[in-house]
Parts: sequence; C-alpha cells; structure tokens
Amino acid sequence: MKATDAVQPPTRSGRRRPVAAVVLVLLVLLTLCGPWLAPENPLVGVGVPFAPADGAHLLGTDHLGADVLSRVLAGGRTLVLLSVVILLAAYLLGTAAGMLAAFRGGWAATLTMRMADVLMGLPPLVLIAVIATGTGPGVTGVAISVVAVMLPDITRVVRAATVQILAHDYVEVAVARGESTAAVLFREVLPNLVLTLAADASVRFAGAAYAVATAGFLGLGAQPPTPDWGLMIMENQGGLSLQPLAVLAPAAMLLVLLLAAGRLADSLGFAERARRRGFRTAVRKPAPGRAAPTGPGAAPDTVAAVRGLRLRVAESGRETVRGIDLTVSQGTVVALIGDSGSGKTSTALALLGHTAPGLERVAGTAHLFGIALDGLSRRELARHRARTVGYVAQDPRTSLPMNLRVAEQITEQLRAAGVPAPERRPRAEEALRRVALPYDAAFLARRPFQLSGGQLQRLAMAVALARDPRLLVLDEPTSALDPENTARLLVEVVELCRKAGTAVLLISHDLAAVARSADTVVMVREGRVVRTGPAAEVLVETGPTGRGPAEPGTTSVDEEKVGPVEPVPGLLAAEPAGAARLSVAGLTVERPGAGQVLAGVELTVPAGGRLCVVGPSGSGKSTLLRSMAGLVEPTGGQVALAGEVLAASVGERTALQRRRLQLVPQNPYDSLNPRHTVARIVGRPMRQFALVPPDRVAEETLDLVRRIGLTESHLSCRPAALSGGERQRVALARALAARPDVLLCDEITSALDRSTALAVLEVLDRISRELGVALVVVTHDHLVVEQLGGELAEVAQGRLVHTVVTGPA
Amino acid sequence: MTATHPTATATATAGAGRWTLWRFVLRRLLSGALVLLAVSAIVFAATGAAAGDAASVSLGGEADPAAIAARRAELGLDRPALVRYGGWLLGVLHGDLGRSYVSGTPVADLLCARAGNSLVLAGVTVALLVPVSLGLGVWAGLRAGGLADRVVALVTLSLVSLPEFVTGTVLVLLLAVELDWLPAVSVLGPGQQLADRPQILVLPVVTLLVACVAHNARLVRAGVVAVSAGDAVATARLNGVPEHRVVLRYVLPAAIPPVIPLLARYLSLLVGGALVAETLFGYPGLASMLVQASAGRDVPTVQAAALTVAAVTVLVNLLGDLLGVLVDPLRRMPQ
Repeated sequence: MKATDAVQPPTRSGRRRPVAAVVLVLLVLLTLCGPWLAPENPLVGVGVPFAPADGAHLLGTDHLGADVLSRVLAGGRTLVLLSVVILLAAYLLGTAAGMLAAFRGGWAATLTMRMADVLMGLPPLVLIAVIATGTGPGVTGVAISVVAVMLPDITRVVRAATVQILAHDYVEVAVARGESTAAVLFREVLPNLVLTLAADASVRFAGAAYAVATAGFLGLGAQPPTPDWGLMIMENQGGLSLQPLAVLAPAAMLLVLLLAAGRLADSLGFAERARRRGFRTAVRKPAPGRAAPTGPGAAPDTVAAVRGLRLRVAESGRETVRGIDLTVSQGTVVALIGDSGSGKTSTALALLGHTAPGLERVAGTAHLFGIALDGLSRRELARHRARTVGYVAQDPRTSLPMNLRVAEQITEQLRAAGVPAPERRPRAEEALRRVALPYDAAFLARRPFQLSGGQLQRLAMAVALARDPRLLVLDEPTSALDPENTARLLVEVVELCRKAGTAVLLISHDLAAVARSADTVVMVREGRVVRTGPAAEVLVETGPTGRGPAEPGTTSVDEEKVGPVEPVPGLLAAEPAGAARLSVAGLTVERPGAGQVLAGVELTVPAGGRLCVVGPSGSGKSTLLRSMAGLVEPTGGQVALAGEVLAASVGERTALQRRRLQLVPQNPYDSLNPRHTVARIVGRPMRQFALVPPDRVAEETLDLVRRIGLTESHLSCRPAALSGGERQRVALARALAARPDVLLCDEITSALDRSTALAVLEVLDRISRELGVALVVVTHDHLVVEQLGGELAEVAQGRLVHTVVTGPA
Repeated sequence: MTATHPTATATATAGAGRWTLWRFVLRRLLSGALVLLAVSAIVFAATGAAAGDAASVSLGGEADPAAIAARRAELGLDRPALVRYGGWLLGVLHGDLGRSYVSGTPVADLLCARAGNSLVLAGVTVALLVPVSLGLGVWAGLRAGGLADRVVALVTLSLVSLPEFVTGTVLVLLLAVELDWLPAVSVLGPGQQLADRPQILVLPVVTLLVACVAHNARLVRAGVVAVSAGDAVATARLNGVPEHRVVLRYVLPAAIPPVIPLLARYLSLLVGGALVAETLFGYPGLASMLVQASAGRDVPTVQAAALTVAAVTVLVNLLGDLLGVLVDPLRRMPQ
C-alpha cells in the first residue's frame, strides 16, 4: 500500500456528485414536463392490449391497449410532486416541533421520542395499508402516512441539531447582549440548521419516492387509470412474458430516479465515511539506492532517526513537514515541542514508519534500531515495532479499547512482542505495579469504562511499559485530562525509563513538563526544526512565552497579518470616559448538587481599570464572569455598574446596561457563528443598539476590524477561514462594537498556542487603553497576568482574595 | 478515588450491572406493551372511518338506508367509538379478532392459516440475511477505501435504492419467464401446504434478501470502518500488534455489538419488503392478506394483521436490544 493511494477516494466521490445531480435534475424535469411530451393520450387504449413495440408505439401497449411510452412519460409527475409535497409538509412540521422540543425540553421532547417508538412498531408500508383502509386507496392516504412516518425522525434530527446549536458560545453571547428569542432563533439557529436540513432532506427524498411508488404498486396509492410507475408495474405483471416493456420501462425510470437521488444523498451526507481511509500502516516506498538496511551509520547509540522528512497534505498538496531530521539516542529523553499544527506528531509517527491518513510522504527515510523501515513489509514492520517500541497515544479515553479487560490490554501487546503465554500475566501485574495501579484479580478484570481518568492514563503507560520497550514514544501525554496529575505521571514514567535505559521521545506543547524531564529539546515550527539543543539552553532562550527568538528573514504569520495599525480617530472615543465602574458585593452562587460555587465575592473595578482573576479550574472563575453578565443567576449579592444595581438575569437588564457590559467567551472556535461573515458579526451590536446610523455601520466595522489588527479582506470571511488568533480578535471586536465600559474576558487565551495568545493579548492591551475600557480577565495563564497587569485576585474557597497590583497598568 | 478499594468497587459494579440488565428487560417489556397499545389505538382510529361505511360497502352501492342501518346494528357499528375500541381490545386479548367483512369467516382462522407461511418466509430470509450481511460488511469494512470496498459500496448503494417490486419483477422475468426454472407466482392450490411446494419460497426469499442485505451490510461496514479508524486500533498498530489480532481483538468486538440492535431495527424493512414480495408473488402470507384486506376495506382483517405485524416488530426489536446489551459490555455499565 503506497502512501499515494490515499489520494484517490476523495477525488472519486467528488466527481460522482455532479453526475448524480445532473441526472436527477434532468429526470425531474422530464417527469414534470412528461405529460406534455406524451405522443398519445395516456388514459385511453389506442391499440390491442400487450402489443409489442413497433413504429407507432415505441414501447408497445399495456394491458388496456394504452401507449406505454405516453404512460411512462406521464407517470412520474405525481410521484415526484407528491414526494416533494410530503417532504415540505414533514419538514415544516418537524422543524417547528423540533425547535419547540429543543427550547421547551421536557414533555415536548418526551412526546417526540414516544412517537418514534410507536412508529417503530408500525413499519411504514403497514401504516400506509392501515391508513388506506380508513381513507380509501389514493394519494391522500399515502401522503398522510409517509409524513407521519417521517415526522418523528425529522423532529428528532431538528431537536438534536438545535440543542447543539444552542449550546454554542455564539448563542450565549447573543443572549448576553439581549437579543430577542426570535432574533436568536432566526439569526443564530436557523442558518446553521439549514445545512443539516438540506443534507437530511436529500436522504429522505429517495425514501419518500420509494414509499409513494411502492404504495402505487400495492394498489394503495394512485388508482387506475392514472398513469403511475408503481401502479403500471403491477397492472402489467400479467403480460410479463408477452410485453415485458410495459413493466420494464416504468421500472427503469423508477430505478434511475431512486438511484440518482440515493447517490446524491450519499455523496452529500455520507461520503466522508467512505472517504476516510482505514488507518494504513507501513509506508512502503521503494527508495532505490538509498535503502541502507544497516541504519544511518551515524553514532552507534542511535535508536531511531528520520532524515530529510517531508510530508504534504494529499488533497491540497500543502507541505506540513518541510525537511526534518530527528535522532533519538540510547537512554536519552528527547522532547519534540512546537505549536499545534507544526508537524511534531507527524514527525514522531514517521519515526515509527507511519504516515497519518490524508498525508503523503514526499521524501525522507526512517530508521528504527538500525533497520530501514521503508524496506519492511507490513507484517515485518509490525513485528519490529512490537519488539522495540512502546507508543502511548494522546487520549487514553479513546486509545484504550473499551472491550478489553485491564489484563487483556497488556497481555495482548505482550503476545505481539513474542512473550510466551505463561509469562504474560505476571508481567502485566508487574507493569501495573510500576505505574502504581492496583494489580489484584478484580482490577485486572475491569474494563476501561470502569476506571477513572487518572487510572486510564496510568494504564496506557503500563501497556506500553510492560514489554520493556527500548524506545517509548509519548504523544502529547499532557494535553488530555487533568494537567497536574499528568505532569506528575510523566515525571514518574521518565524516571522509570532512565533507570531501565529506555530512550523516550516526548511530544508536547507543555514546556513545564518538558523542562522537568527532557535532556534534549527539538523545537519545530511550520514543518522545520528551528532549534535543537540541551533542554536547559533551548528553554532559556525561548523564554516563558514559548515563542522563541525570531529567525532572521522570517516573521510569524500573525505579525504579517497584523501590520502597522494606523490610529483611527472617532468611534469609541466619543463615549464619555469616567463615571462607569463595576462593583460586586456579596455575590453568592449555588449550584444544585455542587453546593456554593461562589461565597460572597467582593470586587471593584474603576473606569478603565484592570482586574485579573486567577485560580485553578473548577474554582468558579467562569461562574463569576457569567453571573456578572447575567447568564447565571446568583443566589445572593449584587452587581452594580456605574452605581446602578443590575438585575440578576440578563433578560431583565436594560439595553444600556447590557451594552456597557460585554462578554468575550473562552473558545474562539465556538464563539463565532460559522454562518456569519466577520462584517456581520462585528456589525451586529452596532445595529442592535443603534449606535451607528445603518448606512455607516460598514465603515465603522472596517475601522474597528483594522484596530484589532485585521484587514478589509477579512470582512467577507466566515470564521472557518480564520485562524484561532484571528477568531479571537473578531470576538474581541464584536464585544468592543457595543462600546462597552467593561469587558469580561473568560480564559481568552486557553484555546490558543503561546505565540498566538501573546499577539491577541497585545491587541487587547493596546485597544483597551486606547478606548478606556475596563477589563475583568479570568485566567489560569500567567502569560495573561504578565501581559495585561492590573490588579490580581485569586479565587479560593468561593471567595476572592485580592493580592497585588502588578505590571504596567 | 476508586483505587483504594478496587475489589469492593468491582463487585458492586458487577452487581449493579446485573440489576441494570433486569431493569432494562422489564422496562423494555413494559414499553413494548405500551407501544402495542398505542399502535392498536392508531390502527383502530385510522380504520374507524372505513368501519363507518363498512355496512354500505358490504351491501353494495345502492342499498336502501333501512338495510344499511340494520347491517350497522348487526356489525355493532351503532355504538360509540370508544365502546367499540374497548370491546375490540378485549376481544383481541381473548383471541377473538372478529369476523371478516368480506368472507364472514373468523379473522383468527384466516390469520392462523397465513401466519405460519409468513413465519417460514421470514425465518428463511433472516437465517440467510444475518450471516451474509455480517460477512459482506466486515469484509468490505476491513478493506475500507480499497477496490473490494468500493465495489461492495457501489453494489449495495444501488441495491438500497432498488424497490423490492422492481427486483422481484426482474427476477421473475429472468428466472421464471425466460429460463423457466422457478414458478413465477407463489400460490398454493386448495388444500396444498407450503411443504408440498417449497420451491415457491425461492423467488420471494431472494427478492427480500437483495433489498435487506444491502442495508445491513452497509450498516456493518460503517461500524467496522468507524472502529478501524479509531484511536484504539491506531495505537494497537503503532505498537506492532499483528493485523489478525487487531481485527479479532480490537476491531470486531468493538464494531459488531453496537450494530446488532440496529440490524433488528432494519428488520422492519423486511416487513415492508414482505408486503411487496408476498403481493408480487401472490404468496399466501400475512402481508399479502393485509394488502388485500386494505384494498377491500375489510376492517377487522386489517386490524388483526396490522396488530400481529406490530407485535412481531416490537418483539424483534426487544430481542435485538437485549442481544446487543448482552454481547456489549459497554452498554452494561450502570448509567
């Protein structure tokens, strides 16, 4: 299996879609115009029954002597129109019911679920037969039953999609800004629902047409002498041997219609399943002349190495790894660090002879314990890996198979490494002991879902360590689950490896973890190694931001895009500075089951002031912000802005109050509506609060977008086209567009990598000074505190402990 | 932290698992009964409109009003709907399904004569369907993206779109009309039993298989592909677990159990298919009886047949869910 094979499926399914679409459109047109094209009256006999095809009747005649061609041409219109009407009715009812169920929850949701249960007991065609008994045979009965069959399912789909959309931060931001329910529904929810509905409807069209045609065939739908493909197939069964065309012609039409509809639906909605290739191992690329089976010939203590590795995305051809060399020596701990997307994981996988699906290798060789991986068959590669390497994937919650018991997780891999059966169980117990997990029979019999997150992480390590690998590869072990415990476990494991002389390749973006355990650090940026050296040296040069010294001649992406910012007069400077100050007194929030989250928080932020709130995760930082924004109702205490006490719930606050207090949520990948352009997102608060005359909104939006470091070309972009940093800038701009007095920022750097976070913070720092906006920033990131300065407070036991005034504020 | 008393917790979990299983069965049985009750109400209400005219229908077009009134009284149609529903339901529970409006014979007798034939048809189909679709789905799923997979995907996708009556008609044309290997219609002479003419099963079974295998194989394939592309399988491969062990221990045990309840759900397609296949071939089963009765507006027969079909569907789904839970440890975890 060559890596280049991975390219094929996407292009294929991509080509299929237009063909199916064209066929479907042509066919639908033909069926709609068919009755006018029919050469004869399809309703009356024009010849002898079951006459074979001749010059007068190109497809012969049917059981009544009517012209088959005319009946076939006329017989699709009812089918297509009825199917469309059925879909329209079903989606209209289903969308209304689904949204209602999503908003109301409770009984509406239960009702739709029960409806689906009941209909599951009554298969669609049986329901048609039952309803046709009541209404009499005919299209009305068919339409009613097919709508009834589809309704619960559509309602469920709409409800699920709506619930999901409502959970996004962009909806919350709109609610916090005081948008009406109708505005939330039509602006935020519906545009995102439309795509889901379209994909869903394309699937169901074939289903509806199938049901209508089958009802016709069973004699429960259109009645004679109406021309109808399904009915024709039944009527002419008797003449099958005499005049097969009378049956085959309508059958063929039906077939093409359903096939094209099904094909289109499949390529729209479900193609990516076929597209995603299985996890292919072994890049077997014959590299003539270069395949040196004895390793790179360098230092004898080299356990693994890649040379000149270049990888690119198969579909776009974009190179993600652009010539990387990496060597891991015996008994050393090498850390591969860099921002997400810099190519570090792909490099580590290449070291194991693997190219991730969707990528292809352009150049480069990999050696593992002196053996060139390119020369190995799939089976040989597996054997070689099993005997030398232990690989621990990022997230133990997904990388440990749920069906295997704890003991089996380990023994299965010992088996692969050729450990004889009687030794496996004792070695499994020994491995569990080493990572401080219990190793009694009851624990060995558990399955992953019966373990805690921390236990899973230890088990993943135990699985890899059990067979005493000579190289341990840890793929971002610090990015999942609880970071503190993970870091501790990492130190333990590295200690174990040092004692056993095992080499470790550690992939991470957590510099603290690296500093505590690595000997050598290799820093990767944009597919190239930018720095290699002893850990202490590289990390000191890099500094706490992890951004590293800029290379001569290159600037980071963010810097290129930001450009010089020309000062823009006007806009927010018009707002009278001064007066506003935010004060919180005795704020208490209780959550059912969780007890008091906040217990009497006191804080004051002067106009233009800054407050950084730090604390461990789960300490109630976000709750504090959200209760100030009116999204969480406090059980006690009050929030006042410029001396006015604010209502607890955002819905009861005045428009002015809502405008003056703006929230920037944590995750920029969730806080922007994917269906809106940047211009629409940033312009909306100006329109909503009527801050700017409608004809000047575009101009003011551009001003603001420039001030936060984006350009005019970004205005027409949708969020998907933006990087994380750019998104967070847009989220900031949206909040600033309301001309707030206070900006509430919730962990705004946590989803960004270091260098991007720094750039965003610089913008926030600058613009909040320029505009005189007060900041309340919640974070657990010291970078934020250093960069923004101001007053520092810590949440502890539900209270705010004010500490120091720091930094440049 | 559970690590402190692993033994105690594990026992508790296993105990809870067993208890959960029983509660699950009970709950599903109860909800199955409720679904049937709801189905009976829908069936009664939907056919009720026709029951109103049944008197005039059964007397022919131009009967005089007095005769119709007498007939209505005879059929008990002058009573309020709710009373009639109660009486009917009570009768059903005692095995009294009323008399056919058309033939006047007790519906229970008609039903018994036909249910056996349908059971044989469905039994033979399912016995072939399950192994074939599992085999095909797994085979294609393990070769995801390869040539074999693409061929299977293309064929099954085409077959999924194919209505049973088209498949059946083509089969008749080929195997019965052109080649004359099999009977074109699956009717039994008077007094004949299915055992006398087993060859009449072949075409209906093949017609049903063609439609259902495609659906089920796609389902199985999707499950296998999803698991194969997952983290657990990738990690096993990167650790050098040999391919046959990956399939046997990591892919199949994770992919197959969740598919089982879905397969059971797809059996309702089989019921729809049976409706078509029995009608097309004139097979003397329950489904063709339902269609005939519906066209003839024979209300008691429709009600009885629909209720029987619903009961079987609910039962199959219940069994599928149960089997899924039994073979899938994941679903046995206490919620």
